[in-house]
Amino acid sequence: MTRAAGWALLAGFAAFLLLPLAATALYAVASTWTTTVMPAGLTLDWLVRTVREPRFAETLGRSLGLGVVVIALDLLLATPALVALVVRRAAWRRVLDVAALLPYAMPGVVLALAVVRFYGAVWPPLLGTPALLALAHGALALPVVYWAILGNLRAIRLQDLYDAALMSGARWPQTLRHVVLPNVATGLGVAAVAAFAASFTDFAVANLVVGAAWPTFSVWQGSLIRANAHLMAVTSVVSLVVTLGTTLALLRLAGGGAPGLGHGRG
Amino acid sequence: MLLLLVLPGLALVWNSLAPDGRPSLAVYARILAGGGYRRAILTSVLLATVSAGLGTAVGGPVALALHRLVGDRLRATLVALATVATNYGGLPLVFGFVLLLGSQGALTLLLGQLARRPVSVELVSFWGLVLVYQYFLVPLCVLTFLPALALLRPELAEAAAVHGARPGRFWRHVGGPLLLPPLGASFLVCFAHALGSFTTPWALIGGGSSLTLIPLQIGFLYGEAGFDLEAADALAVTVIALVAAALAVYDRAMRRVARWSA
Repeated sequence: MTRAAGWALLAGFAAFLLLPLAATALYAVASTWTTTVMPAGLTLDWLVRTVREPRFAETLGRSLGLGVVVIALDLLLATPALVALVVRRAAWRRVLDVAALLPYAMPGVVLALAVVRFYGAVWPPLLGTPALLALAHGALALPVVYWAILGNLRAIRLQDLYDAALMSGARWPQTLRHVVLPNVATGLGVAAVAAFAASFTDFAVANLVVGAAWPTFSVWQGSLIRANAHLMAVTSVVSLVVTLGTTLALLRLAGGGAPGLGHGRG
Repeated sequence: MLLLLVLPGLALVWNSLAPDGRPSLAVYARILAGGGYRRAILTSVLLATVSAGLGTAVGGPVALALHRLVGDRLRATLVALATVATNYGGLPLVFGFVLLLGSQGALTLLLGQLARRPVSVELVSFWGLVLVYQYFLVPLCVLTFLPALALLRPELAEAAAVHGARPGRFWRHVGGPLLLPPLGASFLVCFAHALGSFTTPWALIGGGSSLTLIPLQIGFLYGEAGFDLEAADALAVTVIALVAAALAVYDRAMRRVARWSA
């Protein structure tokens, strides 16, 4: 490949990715833009109207809150389990590898169906509640959380640290607090951001599990996309900001060596 | 603890294999036999294959260009852009594309002006979907393939040159075989991702077309219709099986790669 061709390819790649984003951002500040190549005029009105819309704060708050709950859920579940596993029972790791990847093999809508069918039969009152959505999102984010924490645990050679702590006479909770946690802060950070991103940008699972009964930000966008293009554009910019923020945080924490962090949510 | 979240998946598989409590493959026979479901499965697989194929065909060279031509800072920026693109939700994405290429889209109108006659781009179609899928598939391929390019150490090229091999031969006998498994692995990741996509086709098509896909069918059967849940189960398991198979092959390919880079 010649250098010129390579640069042209990269330029095309960047342009392809930036164009829809630019168009959306432009639409968000356009007064009208229906039958012309460029908007008829610019205005901040739509931004104001969107933010004033009650559904905006409602759904955004829900999505943000849900994201935090999912972070807590996954970190609390995964961290002790993974630490215990790495340290004590290496044999189980293979099983857990497969088990943790199972949600990854289940794209959004399949996971949603599984959760709804299972809990519908086992614990019906849970159906259609935000709690169930939190569980579903927890499962959705689990593979990335697992990968992030386990990667960190392996990198710090937990077994050696644990043995050293044991020889110094530390008990298990002490070891956890003073030896393990400070060293997995990065992994936990990556896991938290990735879990949040997975939850916030999800539409398929939220739509199927709770739908209009408890609209998240994405579900609200689902109703806007055909109903009101201007509001849709502004909310899209919000989505972009969140995605950009989480991506930058991830890349900073993971040190630039984290490919494939996009979860199945297309 | 983790099993709590994994259990529903297993339950789904069980449910679809044993409706009414009796093990039966009848429902699978039904969905594979004909009609809408069969069409959905075939269309989904075709769409995923074509989209992933195109994504890999474009993503591979892009990754190569990124690896060889670009300084560290620009590369980091483009990697960040690619990561944003893979995480960008389906709804805003489709919206952006419609703004550009819809019937009143900016690019559509621009093309019409340049060509001096109205141009129509059928975005709500199989190929429209392939195009939109490229937005997250090409970056996904780039992100998963880029690390593998580190395998292409300059010493290999130098060694080949010392032995008198021209670039063509190098690629045929060293570079190609070295990079083909990771490229195939990227394809499989893209395939799995494309197969399971719900939000993007939902936003683009939304029931207004004869195009059927598995995820859309599942969503429709459970969400709006609420009937034939067995078919939904079976379709879901089909997706799991296909994705799991793709990921299993991916895993084996990556293990081979790990051996070579050790």
